[in-house]
Amino acid sequence: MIILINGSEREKYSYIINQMHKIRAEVFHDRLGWNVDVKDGLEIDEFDALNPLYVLSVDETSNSVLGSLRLLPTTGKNMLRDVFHDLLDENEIVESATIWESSRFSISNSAPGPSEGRLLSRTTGELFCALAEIGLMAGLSEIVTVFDARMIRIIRAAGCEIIPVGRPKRIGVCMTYAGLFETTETALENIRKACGITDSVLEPQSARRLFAA
Amino acid sequence: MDSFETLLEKIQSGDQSDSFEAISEEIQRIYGLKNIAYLGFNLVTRTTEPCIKVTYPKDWTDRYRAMDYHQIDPALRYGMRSILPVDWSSFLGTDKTIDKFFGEATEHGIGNKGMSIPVRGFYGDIGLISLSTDMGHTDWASFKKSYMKDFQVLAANLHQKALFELGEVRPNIILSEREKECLYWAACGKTAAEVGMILKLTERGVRFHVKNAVQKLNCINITHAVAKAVALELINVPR
Repeated sequence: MIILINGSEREKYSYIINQMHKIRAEVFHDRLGWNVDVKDGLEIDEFDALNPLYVLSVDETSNSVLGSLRLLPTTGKNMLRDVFHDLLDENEIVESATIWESSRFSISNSAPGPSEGRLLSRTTGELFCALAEIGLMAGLSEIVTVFDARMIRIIRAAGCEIIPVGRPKRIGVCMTYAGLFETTETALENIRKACGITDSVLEPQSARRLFAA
Repeated sequence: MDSFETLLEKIQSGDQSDSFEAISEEIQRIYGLKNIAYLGFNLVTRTTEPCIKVTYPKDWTDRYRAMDYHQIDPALRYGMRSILPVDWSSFLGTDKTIDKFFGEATEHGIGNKGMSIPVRGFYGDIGLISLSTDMGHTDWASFKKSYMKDFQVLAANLHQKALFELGEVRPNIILSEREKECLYWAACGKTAAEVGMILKLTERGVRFHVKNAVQKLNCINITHAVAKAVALELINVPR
């Protein structure tokens, strides 16, 4: 199940948000060896201060976070513009009211793996479905994201077609790419099919609270 | 909606007759809305005071001010801190003060349904476009489904428009000679390739200078940047 939390509500949902920062430290610092700041076991960066929208896959019985990502509009400060601009050609800008950036996609080590016959876990599937669902509700056309080689396989397996932007570059330990994927009805259908998900993944109350859809 | 493109052109034109107010009214008419309200926060030149442009009846804006309703208006509190569009109905039924506030708004001629769309700007500035309507429940649901994308784009453009009208430019904005030249020739209708030939630059070089100028001027595209550069007398009026 996916819950949505505004960055401004981090105090109110500190139990969930702290789990997310802890998982991010385990994934990006410990496992992938990225150059990220970790303090007291939590990975938090400057973009967390911009009140992003957190998209969290949560186990409904235990309330534990299984995976997460965060969204920021590309009209404002975002990672591609302010950190990874070397990935873009000189004359390239990704800045649109209908493109949001997804970053810090991470899955907890304790999240259950893929069920038999599936390439992706339920958690990964939920996060991709959520991107498409949010995109449709918020009137977006695409999600842009910066990713490494490990993510290419996951994005493809999730049924997303990547539209490459700029040119890949080696950053630190890994090849880094930027790409867009569409958030259309067709895209949502493809993702659902690839991930074996049939219904909305958004927890009804958090979806209602934010959209009144 | 064909009018959408026309609206965008008008917002971006920088033409005096296409003022923010005139465009708001046109959007209302085209989309069958009752009101449009804009709030700009955290602007470069007005860091403490928000910019407010509303098509609300004067009775309501007076009342709003007198009662300090900005302190309880949930759309305002939400919009400054969130990125998702929000339907006003999600604020109802949890707090009596808020229910009373919306009830009063309706009595003063604000539509009984509405939503607010936050905009994040280039320099950390924030815009919030709210729209209200009296359409029925089903129409409103399908309106949101059909036009949310339009309104994301309109909201971002209206925010830029408001900044433009405020003369919001980054403090100490200085365009390089190259940037001015490229903008000037673009204003004369030349393509990047043609400007490159005139100035003995590569096409890519031209695009680079133009992109920088667009960003420095806090604009959304080259048309917008040209209009603003002319208005601010940074470049000559094209021949």
